[in-house]
Amino acid sequence: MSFFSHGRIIFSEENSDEEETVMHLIKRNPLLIGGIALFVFGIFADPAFLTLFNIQNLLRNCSILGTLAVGVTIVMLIREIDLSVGSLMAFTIILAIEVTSKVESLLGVVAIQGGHYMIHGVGFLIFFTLLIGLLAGLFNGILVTKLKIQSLITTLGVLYAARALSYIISGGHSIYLTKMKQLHWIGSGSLLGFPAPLIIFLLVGGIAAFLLKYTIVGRRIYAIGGNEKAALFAGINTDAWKLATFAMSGFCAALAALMYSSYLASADPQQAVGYELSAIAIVVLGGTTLEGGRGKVSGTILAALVIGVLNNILELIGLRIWYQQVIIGCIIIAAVMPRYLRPKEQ
Amino acid sequence: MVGSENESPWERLKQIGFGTNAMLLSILIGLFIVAGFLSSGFLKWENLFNIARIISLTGIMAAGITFVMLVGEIDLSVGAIMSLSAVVGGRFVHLGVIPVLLITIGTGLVLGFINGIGVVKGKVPSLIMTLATLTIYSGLANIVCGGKAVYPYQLPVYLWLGNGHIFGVPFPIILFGAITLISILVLNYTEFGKWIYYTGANRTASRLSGGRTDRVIITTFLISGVLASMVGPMISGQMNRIWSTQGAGYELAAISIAVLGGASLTGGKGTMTGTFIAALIFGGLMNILNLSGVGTYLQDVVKGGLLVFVVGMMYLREDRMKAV
Repeated sequence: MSFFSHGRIIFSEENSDEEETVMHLIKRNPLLIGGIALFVFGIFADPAFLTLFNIQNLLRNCSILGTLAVGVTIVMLIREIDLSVGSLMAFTIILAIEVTSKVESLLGVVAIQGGHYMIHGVGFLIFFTLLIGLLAGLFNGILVTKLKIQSLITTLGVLYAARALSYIISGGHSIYLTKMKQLHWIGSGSLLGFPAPLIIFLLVGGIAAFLLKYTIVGRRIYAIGGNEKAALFAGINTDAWKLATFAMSGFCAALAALMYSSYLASADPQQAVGYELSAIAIVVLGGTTLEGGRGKVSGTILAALVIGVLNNILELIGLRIWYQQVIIGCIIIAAVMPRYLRPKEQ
Repeated sequence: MVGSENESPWERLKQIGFGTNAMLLSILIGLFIVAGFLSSGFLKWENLFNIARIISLTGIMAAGITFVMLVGEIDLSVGAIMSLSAVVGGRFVHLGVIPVLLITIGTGLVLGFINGIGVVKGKVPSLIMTLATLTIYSGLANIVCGGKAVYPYQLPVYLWLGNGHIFGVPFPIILFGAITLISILVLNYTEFGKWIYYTGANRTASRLSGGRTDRVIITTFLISGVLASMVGPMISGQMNRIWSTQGAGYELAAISIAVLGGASLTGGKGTMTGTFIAALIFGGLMNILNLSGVGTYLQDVVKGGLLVFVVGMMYLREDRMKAV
C-alpha cells in the first residue's frame, strides 16, 4: 500500500463542458500558462531571445529530450518505468555503427575510414539504430513481463549494462559522422524554417497522442495502467501490451540517439548520460503520474517545450548550469506537489 | 495465470527454511571459494581488507537506503547528499575537525529531512521527490564551492577517516560494521524498528493501529541522509580533497546493494544482514573482476546483469502478483 495503491481505470479524461473562465483556464493548464508567461518574460529579459536563430536552437534542443520523454510517457502510463533510455541513446547508435560497418564490409565497401570517420551506409545506420532500439526495448519488456522483475530494477540493470557495452563496442572512442552529409539533416536540417528534430518530435508525439486517444492501443494501456489486475481479469493480455510499451520507449530512445548524434556529427559512448532523469522530469511535469493510467502525451510535449524555453532563458541571462539544476529541481517539486495535495476527486 | 498454482523453486526453498540471507551467504561463500581458486592473490588479508574498505563506503549508503526501502519509499538523492554535505563541511575547514564533521553530518540531516517532509507532507512520490532533490543538491554542491575542490591538509584527523586503521582494521570497515550492527539491533529489538516494518508492509493498517507513519517515514529519510553524509569525509580523506561531484553515481550502486540484499521496492521486506552480505558480494565480485583483468566497462555489464539476475530469482511469480 505505498504510492501504487490508488489505481483505478480511467477510460477518458474528465468532462470539459464547463464554463471556461480565466481562473479556470489557469487552474486547468498551469503548465501552458506558465510556459506563456516564461516566453513573455524571455522576450523582455534578453533581446537575443526572440530571434529566429535562438528559437530554432531552442526547439532543436528540446526536441531530443522531448522524443525521449514521449517514449517514457507511454511506459509510465502502463505503470512501469524506464531508466535505461539515456544509456540506450549511446548504445543503439554505437552498436548500429558497428553492425553497419560489418554489413558494408560484407558488401565490399569500407564504411569507417581512418578508424574514426564513418563515411558510408546512412540507410543501414538509420535502419539498424531504430531496429536495435526496438529490440533493446523488447529485451527490457521481456525481463519485466516474463521474469517478473520490477521495471525499476530491470531498467537500472540495463542502464549499467548498455552504457558499459557501448564503451566496450566502441573501445571508448568517438566515431565521427562529419563526412556523412546525408545524415546531418536529421539533427541540424530544417524544413520551411522548422528544425528537423522538431518535426520528428511532433510527428512521433502526434502519432503517440493519436494512438493513445483514439485507438484500442490507448484504451488498453490506460486500462492496464489504471488497474492491472482488473485488466487481466477482463481478458487483456497485459504482458503483450507491456512489451509493446517498452519497445516503443526503446524506439523513441533510438530516434533521439539519431537526432543527437547527427546534430553533433559524432557518436560517443558517453553521450546522454543522465538523460533518463531529465526525461522522467519532463514526463512528470507534463502531468503523467507514477501510479499509471493518468496523463497525456500532449502534456509531455508541452512540458518539453516549457523546459526548453526555461533552459534557454536561464542560459541567456547567464546563470550557470548549477543554478539551472536547482531551479528545475524546484520547479518539478512545485509542479507535482499540488497535484498530490489536492483532495481526491470523485 | 494468477500464479499461485505453479510454485517457484525459490518458494519451495523458502519452505524448508532457506531464506534470502542464507541464499546470499551461500553465494558469498561460493564466490570466495571460486575466487580463491581463480586468483592466488584474492584470499590475502590485504586484498580482503581492500575489498571491504572500498565497499564499506557504498555499503553505508546502502544501509541508509535499506531503511527507506523498508517503509516502501526510495531515496535517489544519497549521492548528492554526500557531495553537498561534504562540500558544506569543507567551507569550514579553518574551524578544526570536530566542527567540520558536525556541520557535514548536520547538513546530511537537514537534507534528509527535506526529502522526508516533501514525501510525507508534500505527498510527492519519493521517486520524484528524491529525483528532484538529486538535481537540486548536486547543483547546490557546485554553487557552494564554486566548482573548486577543497584540500583538507590541515586536518589530519579528517584524512585519517579515509586512510586510518584501528588495530590494523581500516576505519571505514569498522564504521560499516558498527552501523550494520546498530541497525540490526534497531530494526529487530526496538519499537521504532517494529513500526518501520509495519509501515512498509501496510501503511494504512499501521496508521489505524496507532503507528505515526509520517514520523517513521521522515525518520528513515533522516537516517539515510545522515549515513550518506558520513561517507563523504571518508572518500575525501582517501582522495585528500573535498569536491562537488564526489558522490555522483553512488546512489545506483547503493540501491543495487540494498535490492540485492533482499529489500523490496514495495516495502516491509528486507533485512540489514542481507544488505551487509550483499555489499560484500558486490565488493568481492568487483575485486575478482579486477584481479582477473576484466576492464571497468565489462564490470558494469556484470553489475547490471547480476542485479537483474538475483532480483529475478527473488521476485519470482508469487511475490510479483502480490506486489500488483
